[in-house]
Amino acid sequence: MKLLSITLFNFRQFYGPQTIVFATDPTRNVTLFHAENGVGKTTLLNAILWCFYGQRGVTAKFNSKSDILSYQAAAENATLARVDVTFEHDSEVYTVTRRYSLAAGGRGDEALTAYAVRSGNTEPLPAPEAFISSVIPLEMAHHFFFDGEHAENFASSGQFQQVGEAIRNMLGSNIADCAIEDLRYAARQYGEDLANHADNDQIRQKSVEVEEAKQRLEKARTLKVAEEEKIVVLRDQIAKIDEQLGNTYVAKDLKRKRDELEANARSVQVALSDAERDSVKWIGRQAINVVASRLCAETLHFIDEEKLRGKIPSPYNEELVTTLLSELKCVCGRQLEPGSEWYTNVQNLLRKAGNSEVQSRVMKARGFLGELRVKRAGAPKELERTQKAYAQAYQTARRIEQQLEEVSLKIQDIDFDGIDSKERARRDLNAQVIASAKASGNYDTQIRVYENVIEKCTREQERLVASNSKALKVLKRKTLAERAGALLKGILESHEEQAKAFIANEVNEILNVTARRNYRFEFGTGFSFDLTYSSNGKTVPRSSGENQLLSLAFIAALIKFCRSRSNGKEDPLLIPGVVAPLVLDSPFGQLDSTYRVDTSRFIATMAEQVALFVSSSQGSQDVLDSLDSRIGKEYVLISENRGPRNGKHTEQLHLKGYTYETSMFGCEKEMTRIVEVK
Amino acid sequence: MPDAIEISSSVLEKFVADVIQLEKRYAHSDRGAKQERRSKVIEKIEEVASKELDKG
Repeated sequence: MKLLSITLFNFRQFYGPQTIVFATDPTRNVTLFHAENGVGKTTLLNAILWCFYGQRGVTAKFNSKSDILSYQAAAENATLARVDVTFEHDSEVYTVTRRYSLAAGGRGDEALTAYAVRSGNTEPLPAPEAFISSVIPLEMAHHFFFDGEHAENFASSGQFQQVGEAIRNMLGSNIADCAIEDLRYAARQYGEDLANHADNDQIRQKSVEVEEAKQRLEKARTLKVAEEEKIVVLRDQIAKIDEQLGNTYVAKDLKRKRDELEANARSVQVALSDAERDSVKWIGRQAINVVASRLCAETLHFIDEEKLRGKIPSPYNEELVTTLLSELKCVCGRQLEPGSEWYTNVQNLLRKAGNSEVQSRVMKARGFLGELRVKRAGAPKELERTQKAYAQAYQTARRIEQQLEEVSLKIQDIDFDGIDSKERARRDLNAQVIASAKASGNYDTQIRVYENVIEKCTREQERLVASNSKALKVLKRKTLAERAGALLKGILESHEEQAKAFIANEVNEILNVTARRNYRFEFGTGFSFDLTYSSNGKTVPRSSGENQLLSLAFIAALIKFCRSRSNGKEDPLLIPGVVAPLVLDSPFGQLDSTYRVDTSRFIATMAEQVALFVSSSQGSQDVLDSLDSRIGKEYVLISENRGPRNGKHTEQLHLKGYTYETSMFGCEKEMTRIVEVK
Repeated sequence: MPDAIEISSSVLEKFVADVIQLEKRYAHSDRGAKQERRSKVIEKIEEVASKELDKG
């Protein structure tokens, strides 16, 4: 299916008839819409869905679903709104029209018509709804017409149910899924018949056991899948925390360094104090030696000189002189008469005579002065050592101080409490992973137990009903429904596995050319999936940008898968695949500028026909430049307001040499105008 | 699954195909048709069972 044009008539803010012609050239397959928020991007996307499927088809973002008629038109007493979509399908052109008419009492009626346009003539189609469904079933349509946020979060972590539903929808298994559900319902009904109405207690009892075991088995299977999906989500969360903690390892290293430096600073401070104390001690110990150095030298010199002169020790002994005076006889034998000249001469010798005490004191003084001289000689070296130790400690203290300042500056804004709480959260998540893995193992055991119970009870049940024709009939019907359901389920599971393999392969090929790093996408149990680094198999902590990229890759893979199923080889169980345009609203929201440019190139190749809605913030010049060679049609949605501007900013778009004012005030009508950029 | 109640693969496959056809007829119906669709499935079970399974 390829969109040719859409005409909106009084549809929401699109007052009057306004037509968009879509790009159909395979090489210029992009129709680009520039629209700011609130102007009508979502409405335009939903106009197609509303036209095809009515209110059940519109997206969740299409508020006030029943409010179809333009306020401006309603104010002018108009009662009709309409959307016409003209498209090409299987080499034929069709126009589908949905009309809305406001009846008395405010009730709105809708009517759908579809025409084949052949040789300029229109031929009405008898069953327009069935026709639309054959062109693009509603379930598939939702994977071609995307709201921005939906596309952003499509393959976010934990969206397994959504992804599973998308794969089933694109696989076209909805009818088979319904059949399985209906057969299960029928089997349950027959089971209840046996359990409640069999005319044999044993049959009733056995039937109750079988039904109960089946319910438990189903529950255990569901819970096991839920636990395994939970593990994938928990691992994603752990990966995110690891990434955040990865950045904090530097912080933690700095913190450790700061702690070390602070400990070193404390030791150095002790060394500095010791050196200061040693200096003081030196002063106390050596000051006298240094100060008395000269006195010491002179005293020793004096003593030594006197010794040389024979004064020290004195040549006369005091005891000898005293004996001479008492014996009145000189050493020469001469008599010493008291009062005589000789007596006086000898008596005078007493003044110069030495004694043992003086001798001893002189010797002591000499020894002390000698010691003082030795100490004085060692004093400078000791002082030098003390000063060196002090200088070293001082330099180390200064260096540590500087390092501490540097480290403190680096870590002053780091939230260490936050890091601790993340580590706690990580431990909790890990504990949950272990608990879930254990729970999953327990469910596995339960599943095996219930399967055995069911098999055993079913055999017993069959043995019991063999002789009870009424119960046997019911059991045969139940068994038919169960086996048919199991057959269908097996076939669908096999298709789903093939679909998953196809999609995973496509997603990986897309990521190979778009993502910055080498990722690997793979499915796990059920529809759980994981994105890992190709190099080490670790889960990628996905940013919102990576989620959007993965979502877009996933959508592209789904579209390709759907197209691969439209090759005419119909499977009786599956709704055939379709080829349809891809309509994306704001697909670049979470991507950085480099990703936007790369992704915009890639989006143009996602489907044979692409319609993109971009706001001025998303449609930056580099994005427009990269898309330029693929744009076949380009439109601007302009908001026209009757009221005054009231100081609101003028919003302008500059495209192909023209300036478009996207919000106008003081206009005649309240509406959104679609203007083609030529 | 025990085989005490025998259902040939051809009967089973034909029955599955019939159920799918039936489901396809209701594919474009609204949700209100669910009960009716299920009744039709049970009718189909009764039909196949009485024709193919009750004989033995």
